[in-house]
Amino acid sequence: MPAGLERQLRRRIRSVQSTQKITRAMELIAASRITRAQHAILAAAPYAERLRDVASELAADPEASGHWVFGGAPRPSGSPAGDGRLGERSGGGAQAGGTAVVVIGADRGLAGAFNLFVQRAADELVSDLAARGQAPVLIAVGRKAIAHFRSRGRDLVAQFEGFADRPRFDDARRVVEAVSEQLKGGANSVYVVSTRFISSGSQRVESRRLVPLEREERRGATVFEFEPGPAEIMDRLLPQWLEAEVFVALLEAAAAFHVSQQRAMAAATDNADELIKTLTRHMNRARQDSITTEIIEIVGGAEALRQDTGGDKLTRPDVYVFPEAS
Amino acid sequence: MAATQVEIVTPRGALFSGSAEMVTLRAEGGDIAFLANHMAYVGVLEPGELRVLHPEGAAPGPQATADELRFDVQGGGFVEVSANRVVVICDAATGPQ
Repeated sequence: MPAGLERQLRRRIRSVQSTQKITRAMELIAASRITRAQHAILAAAPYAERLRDVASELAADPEASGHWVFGGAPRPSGSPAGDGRLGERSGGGAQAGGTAVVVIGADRGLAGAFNLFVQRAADELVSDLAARGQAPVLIAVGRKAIAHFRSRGRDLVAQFEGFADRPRFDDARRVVEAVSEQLKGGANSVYVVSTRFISSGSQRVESRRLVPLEREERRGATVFEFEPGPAEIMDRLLPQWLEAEVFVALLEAAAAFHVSQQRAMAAATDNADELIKTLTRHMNRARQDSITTEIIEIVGGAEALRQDTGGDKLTRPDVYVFPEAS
Repeated sequence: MAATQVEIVTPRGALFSGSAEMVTLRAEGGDIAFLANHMAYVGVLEPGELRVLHPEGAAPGPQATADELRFDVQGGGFVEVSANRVVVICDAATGPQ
């Protein structure tokens, strides 16, 4: 039924067009959010950078570098971050010597392979840590990351959603509270799996170890006076430094998410264009077919009439001429 | 008078970056002031008032010519001094007023 086909195609074109309107709008929204997210990264960068400076100054100090966060010494049971109340720990937390893994995904999809890459890197890291006997426990940020681990039947010690595409500092603080909980429970290392925003053209999923801290040897470094002592400063620095690192990771992941979404939606808009073009071609073809069929019917009918009457009286040429169909 | 570099950073951005004659703030052991060429020092910052005296190079605006900038430190943080530079790292602060 050619006429029905034409109507069907017209309907499909309309539906593709309205989808295209949505993808184009999402593309534009994502593009505007990229800029805002980049500004937030730039604003937070000096803060994180200066905290890193203090951490590396502590690392150079002989007294502080013996602190457990540098991985050198066993965890003293009296240190504030490791209350030593292992017996009070409720189930589901990290074991002594365990690892807390913070996985930063997105709340929403429609961003290409953004979530997939994070999930894959997280799965790899988790099986890696498990193979090394470091008992990973998971802290997930973003609805998509949570859903992924749920579907894998993995337990999450903490989960956060609702701020992945526009994180605030307080959100980072809540995530770090969950991390500190694990450190108190006896975990002694912390990893973050997240998408780094290197530039608007380059993002990469990275699994980074935050704790134990990397200890770089610095020769001839300035000797600092620490007040209170270096170890006490380290105890205070650890949560604040983790907050800064997690905050920057959240901001970068959000920016990278918006870039992925913009790219995915731009591709979708282009695809819709293609699809509309193809469908329009099919529709025109179907319309032409139905016109041709109609003409054939008319011509056939006229021909039949002419033959019925002997062919003499009805020879009016205009019956056979269809200028618009020729 | 000799000046020292001063930087006040928060997660939301830098509140001040420039030079000044003196910085006073509340540290864990009590109020403390930093003049130019202070020895290398790392201390714990406490909520309180943070003052930058005779600042130069502040953000443009009325405070750029002020004699003294006052900041309100609400959260915790650190103060780090090295190579004639005072860096105040604070997770929540507002100012200058």
